[in-house]
Amino acid sequence: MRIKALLAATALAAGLAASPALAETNVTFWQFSTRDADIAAWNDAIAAFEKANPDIKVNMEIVPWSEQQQRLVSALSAGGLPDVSMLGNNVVAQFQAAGALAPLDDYIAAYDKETGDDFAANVWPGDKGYYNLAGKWWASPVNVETRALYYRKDLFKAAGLDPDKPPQTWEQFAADAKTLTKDGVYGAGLSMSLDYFTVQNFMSAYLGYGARMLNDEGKCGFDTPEFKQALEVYTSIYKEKATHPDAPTMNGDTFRKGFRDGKFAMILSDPGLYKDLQNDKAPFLDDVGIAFVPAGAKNRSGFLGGWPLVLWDASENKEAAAKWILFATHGEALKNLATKGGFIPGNVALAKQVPWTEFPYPVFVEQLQDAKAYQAPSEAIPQMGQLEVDTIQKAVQAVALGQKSTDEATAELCTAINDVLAR
Amino acid sequence: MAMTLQTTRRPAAARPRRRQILPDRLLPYGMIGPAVFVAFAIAIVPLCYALWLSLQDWYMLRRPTPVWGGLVNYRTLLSDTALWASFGRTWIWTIGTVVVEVALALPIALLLNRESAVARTASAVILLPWVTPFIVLGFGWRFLLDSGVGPIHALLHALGLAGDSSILNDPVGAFAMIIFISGWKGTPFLVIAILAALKSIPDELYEAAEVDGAGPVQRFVHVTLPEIWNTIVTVGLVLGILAFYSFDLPWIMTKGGPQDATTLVGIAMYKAVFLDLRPAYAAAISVVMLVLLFIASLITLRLRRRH
Amino acid sequence: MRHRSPTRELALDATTIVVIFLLLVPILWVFVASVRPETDITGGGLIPTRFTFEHYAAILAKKPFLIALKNSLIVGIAVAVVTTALAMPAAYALSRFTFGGRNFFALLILGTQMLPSLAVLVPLVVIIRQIGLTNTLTALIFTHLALGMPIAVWMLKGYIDAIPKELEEAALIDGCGRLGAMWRIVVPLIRPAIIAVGTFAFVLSWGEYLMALALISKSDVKTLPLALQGLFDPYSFSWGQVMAGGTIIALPAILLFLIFRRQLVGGLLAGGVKG
Repeated sequence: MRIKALLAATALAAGLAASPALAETNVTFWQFSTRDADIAAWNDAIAAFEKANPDIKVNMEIVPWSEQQQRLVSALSAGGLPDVSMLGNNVVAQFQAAGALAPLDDYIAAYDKETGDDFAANVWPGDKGYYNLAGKWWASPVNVETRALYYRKDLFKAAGLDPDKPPQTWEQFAADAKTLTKDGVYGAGLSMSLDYFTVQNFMSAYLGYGARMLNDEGKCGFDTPEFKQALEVYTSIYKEKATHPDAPTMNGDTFRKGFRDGKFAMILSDPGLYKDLQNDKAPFLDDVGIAFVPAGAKNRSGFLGGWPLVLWDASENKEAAAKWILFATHGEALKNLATKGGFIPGNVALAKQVPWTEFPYPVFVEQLQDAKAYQAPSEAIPQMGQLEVDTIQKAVQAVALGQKSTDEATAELCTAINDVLAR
Repeated sequence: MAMTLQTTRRPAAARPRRRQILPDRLLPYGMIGPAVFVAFAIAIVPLCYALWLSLQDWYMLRRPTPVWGGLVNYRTLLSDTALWASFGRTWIWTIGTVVVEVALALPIALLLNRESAVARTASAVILLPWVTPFIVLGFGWRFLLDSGVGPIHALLHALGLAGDSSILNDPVGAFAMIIFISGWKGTPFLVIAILAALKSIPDELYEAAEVDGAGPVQRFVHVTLPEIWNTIVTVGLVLGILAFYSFDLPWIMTKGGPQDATTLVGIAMYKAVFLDLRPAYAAAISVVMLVLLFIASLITLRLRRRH
Repeated sequence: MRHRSPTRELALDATTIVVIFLLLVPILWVFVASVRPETDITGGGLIPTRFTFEHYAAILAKKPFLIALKNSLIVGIAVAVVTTALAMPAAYALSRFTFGGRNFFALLILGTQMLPSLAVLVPLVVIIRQIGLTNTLTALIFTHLALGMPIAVWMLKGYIDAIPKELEEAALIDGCGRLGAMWRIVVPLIRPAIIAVGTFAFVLSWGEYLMALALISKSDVKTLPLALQGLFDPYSFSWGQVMAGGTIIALPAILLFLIFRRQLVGGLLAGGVKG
């Protein structure tokens, strides 16, 4: 059936190619990854798309993850949005609520009809709540992401730890990180800064300890002993000097780079990191172990990430832009992107194929069972974009720097969250 | 009015040799019109628009276009404790910057108030920090203070002022450091101003003081300081206004962090538009900034000596 | 008291050199780092021993940086030309004519000098967005006019004031109009000042960050300060390259300012002190 779909797509593309040359349509596309492997893969996808659609030109601009929220929001308020962009899964609701996105339903229906595909059936269950809002589809997934624990077996041995027993709980993780810190290597690449990376790691801790971002009234639910315990354990890793001394201001990508350079013994990261280590031909590649994220007192919770492509409502080339979105998020194009970038495709059928049945992917696919949203078990909320960049990390940073006690930081965090929710 | 003057002026400017296109009575308006138009468009119109905008209710996440909100933004603003904290921080920043500037500039100006070749060259190259753009200074200082490669970090570490991590990681240290950098950048301007004032002090005043038996310290207090006082106050005010409206340096160096340690009002305002999507609220902040600054300027000007 | 002993002068000169060195060393370090190999920057001690231009070669090979260089030149030159073209006649009118509202106009133009960009950022961005000019160099040029125009008017007025009126009166008798007299007599006499004023406007626009940050989000219209920010990529990050980029931005500003220092400093002080 898949082959049929591909044949249909090719036939369609060939038909378009044969039609008289149309005026060239430009599609601007903001792509957030700065990794060379990803950029090369996106360039391949664009080349394939342009070959199939000679009348459309895709202009990719690289907007780093660390800047994208600000760039999108300022473009939203000042103009200059692209036609198509990536988006963090949890901010789709925000931009949809602001009326900035265009629904994809018509284009999806046409695509499904032409290719025999079933778009909805191939979206991961966890993603549906993010991308299907008010009965419409607003995004087409590129990948699903979760984090697992990367650890260096060689360094475990050198520090007298059992290389086959990676830490199972956050307490063990903190203790091991301290033991592993020596000879210029830090135990954990754990961020305390105002970066996505912080909340993406820390959420495993607070959900693991049973804390909830939103209570039953839809207000801040963090003012609980569970949350404070998670905050305490997480920040202790910095206070015990088991991570980089600049962790409270370091950019998330710098930690990832640090692990690749051998400066950290453990890090929580996505499957793409393994791809990077392979590409680097890292000398310690064979000593890298991958395990589940540490659990809290209540459960084991993974980060549920992922990013789709979205169509911005301000686009004047919606037809061409939607064509690019559906091309890049399906079939060979997506398979190529996912293999080269080393991520799990956001298309269920595709993820059941090779190479996702081989190391290191299965551990991530299994970890996906535990993957949750920041606000789990509540539904997606439009304000998550703001909450994600400016609130939780600030509490982590304050406690790490010793500026505030856990109680003060938690109280202020709740005030900040409630303020944003009340706007 | 400025618009029509601009259009009538055009042929005159394009062909200056043609005679008497405008009667002499209108000519000056035609000549000054374009500049006045630009001043209107860049200063007066935005200021009035800011006032109007501040009375709208406009949270872009909820509604794409503004509706009339009356004083809603000002009411929110009054209870926004984080914003008032950033106002307080901005006053410390402003006064701190000017204090650093005066403390550095006064001795340097006295040192340069000589006729030697070294002093003349020095008063030229001293302008470097003043003319180097903020973006370069910001990144330059981040490099100098980096915990891995920064030579000034190494110095601060040796002095015990910074730990293993960069001083920019410490809320108090970062704020103090960036105030110093801000003052350092403004110092040359004040040096040159004081130097000009020093050079215009007539020698007779010193001679008279010497005849009265005044020593160097007394000469400085009774002759030099009164003569340069107004320059220090006025230029200090100009530098203070610039400092009050700082954005570039703390944004480039720390993005207002760690925590809110370097979040000046300017940064809070910028975040209100570009991160929180609340342009009307940001406009209200800018109106309040202008009012507070106006009051502070009037108070400062009273420090001037009357001749 | 004006006659000091030579040894005292020598001691003061030595002190001056030390003080100026300390004051400028942060900037010098940036320049030096831009020509040191990356390994020396990260672990080669304070004293540079080896020099290289590889960082300059690396950033000048980056397309976004070159585009930004071109954009900064376009904006800077346009701002310089427009600023002088507007300021010259305005300064002449303020210097030579008495007319109703003269003081008001003078105050208005000079008043804008005292108004920092940040004070008008929010309304300007909203207005520019509504007329659809965000992400254009036009909008950036227009907002950058505010940086140098008031001071340009003020400085040129000072220079024109210093020219005796009799020179123009002779030209008027020869049959020139007022504009002809300005063009033929005044402009040639103050040409260095005009060039200085244009240079000043260029330099201010060249390093401007806030307006560019607020108005520009597309890579094909980015200016140099924004491109410098873009060099902070953790995967291919090099302090040497950032410092080389910084030097490329700083050097023209510093050199042009030092060259025209004589013309600029007086005007700056007058504008600052009297404002």
